[in-house]
Amino acid sequence: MTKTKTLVKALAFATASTVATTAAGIAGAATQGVSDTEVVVGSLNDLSGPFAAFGAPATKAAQLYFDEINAAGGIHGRTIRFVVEDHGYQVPKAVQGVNKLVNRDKVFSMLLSLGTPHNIAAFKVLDKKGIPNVNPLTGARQMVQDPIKYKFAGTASYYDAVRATIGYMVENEGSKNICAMYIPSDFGKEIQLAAIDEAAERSLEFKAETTHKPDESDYVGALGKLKEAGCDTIAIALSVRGAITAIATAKKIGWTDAKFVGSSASFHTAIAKVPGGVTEGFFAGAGWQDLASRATEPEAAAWIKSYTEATGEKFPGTGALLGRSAAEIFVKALEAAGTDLTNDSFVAAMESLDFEDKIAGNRVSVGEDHIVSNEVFISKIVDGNWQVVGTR
Amino acid sequence: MDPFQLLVGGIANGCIYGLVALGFVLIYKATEAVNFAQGDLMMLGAFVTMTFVNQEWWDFPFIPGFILAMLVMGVFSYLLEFVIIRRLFGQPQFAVVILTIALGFILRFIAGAIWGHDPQSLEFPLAGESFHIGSIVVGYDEAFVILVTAVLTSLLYLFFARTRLGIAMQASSQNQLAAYYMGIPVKRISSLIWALSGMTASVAGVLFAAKGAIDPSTGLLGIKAFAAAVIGGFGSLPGALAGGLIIGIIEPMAQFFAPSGYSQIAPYAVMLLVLILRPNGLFSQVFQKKV
Repeated sequence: MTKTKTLVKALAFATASTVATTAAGIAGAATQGVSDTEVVVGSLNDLSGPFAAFGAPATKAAQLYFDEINAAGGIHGRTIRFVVEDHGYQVPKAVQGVNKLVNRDKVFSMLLSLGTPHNIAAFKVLDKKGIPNVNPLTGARQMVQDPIKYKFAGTASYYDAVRATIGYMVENEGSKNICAMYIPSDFGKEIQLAAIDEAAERSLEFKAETTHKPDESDYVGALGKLKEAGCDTIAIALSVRGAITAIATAKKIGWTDAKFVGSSASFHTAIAKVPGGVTEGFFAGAGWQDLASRATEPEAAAWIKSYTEATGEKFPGTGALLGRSAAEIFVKALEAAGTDLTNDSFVAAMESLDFEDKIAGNRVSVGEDHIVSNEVFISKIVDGNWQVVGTR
Repeated sequence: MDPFQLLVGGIANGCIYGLVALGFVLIYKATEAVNFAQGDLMMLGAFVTMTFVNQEWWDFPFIPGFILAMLVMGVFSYLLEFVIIRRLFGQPQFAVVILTIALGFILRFIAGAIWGHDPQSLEFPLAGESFHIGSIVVGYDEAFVILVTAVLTSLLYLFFARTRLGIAMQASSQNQLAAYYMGIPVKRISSLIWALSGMTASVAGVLFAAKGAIDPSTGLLGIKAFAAAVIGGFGSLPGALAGGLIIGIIEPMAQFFAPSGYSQIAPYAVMLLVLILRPNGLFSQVFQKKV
């Protein structure tokens, strides 16, 4: 009995000591990833998988912008160290990556992380430590799911953008029979649901759907199925290469009157530039405007010049545009947060942002919904370029 | 929709899988190792051709550019074997497997660094054009794929059956030691097999690029071609082509007839079925080695 009491006392003492030490540690600890001279920023990205067309140039453009900022002395004396982990669009690798970024690299914030299921998986680690997740490269509504405090979605969601675009198609292009081709992940389901909901709201029938793998390369059977079902407008949630192949295949099998609608994940320069006009007439709804039509505006022209000189590329693509835009938003938030940079001061700074983003061509106005820019631009490929045909 | 329409697309895709599978089998027969970078050699071949042919790069006429890219890929693959793979001669097979998986990552990285990650299109002279056979629409690109595959496999058949080098390669693939004792330069043959495999992969890459777009992750298609090689029987060249065609045809059929969501597993379900019913593949060539 005495032995038991002694053991209980010892355990109670040990527990109390541990709790007290931990609490004291938290109270006295500096903000993770922030020192007097440096801020560490992490990104989980696709540099080698099916969405590398977005991830690789986005992180490159962000890094180039941070290099400029660092060369000019950083923000409040702190340089930005940008650590990117490649997940190749695989969720298990994304989980490994976020654990490494948070626990080894001790990042202050995440920026531009790509992929809906990948970000959702990362939230389990980020939420526990209250690490901000800024402008992820996905338009899923879950990017501002509860707890919302440290989450900031870059643009209007896939769901809102695709609903707006299908609405436009019904009103202006005579769409009646709505269908969907999608990757059955959280990303694809958002777009499928948008198509179903918009069709229902307009008392139209959602005719049929097909599901696909991210690296799929053959769509003949799927398109045959949708054609047979009487679809006239198809919402697609595929990889960039998948979208090109699907649209090209539809034309090849003689289905030339099919109208394809994409989300921001398909709003990509590479799709507009396919030779032979294969992708002409493709629509996409996204939270920003294509750069080519704004290339002569002074801010855009200055960035295009510095980007092309630094990379040797002929013109910055969509991924680069998103990376550069997000990096500037992040830097403006760091500036607004002041010298005493904590997670909470950063959140307050993000919420205070309100300016015209000359790179993305949208208005940054972060409110309590934590959506950085809420506009939707509906664009169509005309003569090899994206052209804005409607806004919401 | 006319099932023959599905068949045309399926055969064209199947030819591409079949050519990549041929590369797998060539190397396996010669070295008893599996080259998991075969899909990435295909991707690289497509990018090299694009560099020669596209207007924004070197702007060569299509056919000379295509042949030049094949030769470049042949030399590249020869050197790959000569400089890297040969160092593992005599090592367990899994060492080569791991090495080729790593090579695949490296090739994807290099392609991304040189050509970027945006999907890019090969300037194929017949892109987007098609002709009709009754109610069936046949893309010129699909006809090109089928024609080139037929010509290439015929040439490969003649090469292996009629030429000294081809027969030496066959001998080397059946029994390296016996071939060596018969005076066949086994190591050089191995390099040449890699060169041939690289050239075949580059043809597959061009055919793939002619049908859509390419990016550095295109090489992941190699997994499907691997399934094709397994279905055909890993040691059989006609089997590899047949396996490719089976997968190519099953894919659109499953997409069309099977419920959404189930079609993606169809090629692998067939592979599983073949492995259960005919563990050595449909066109197996099983030899027992006696010691």
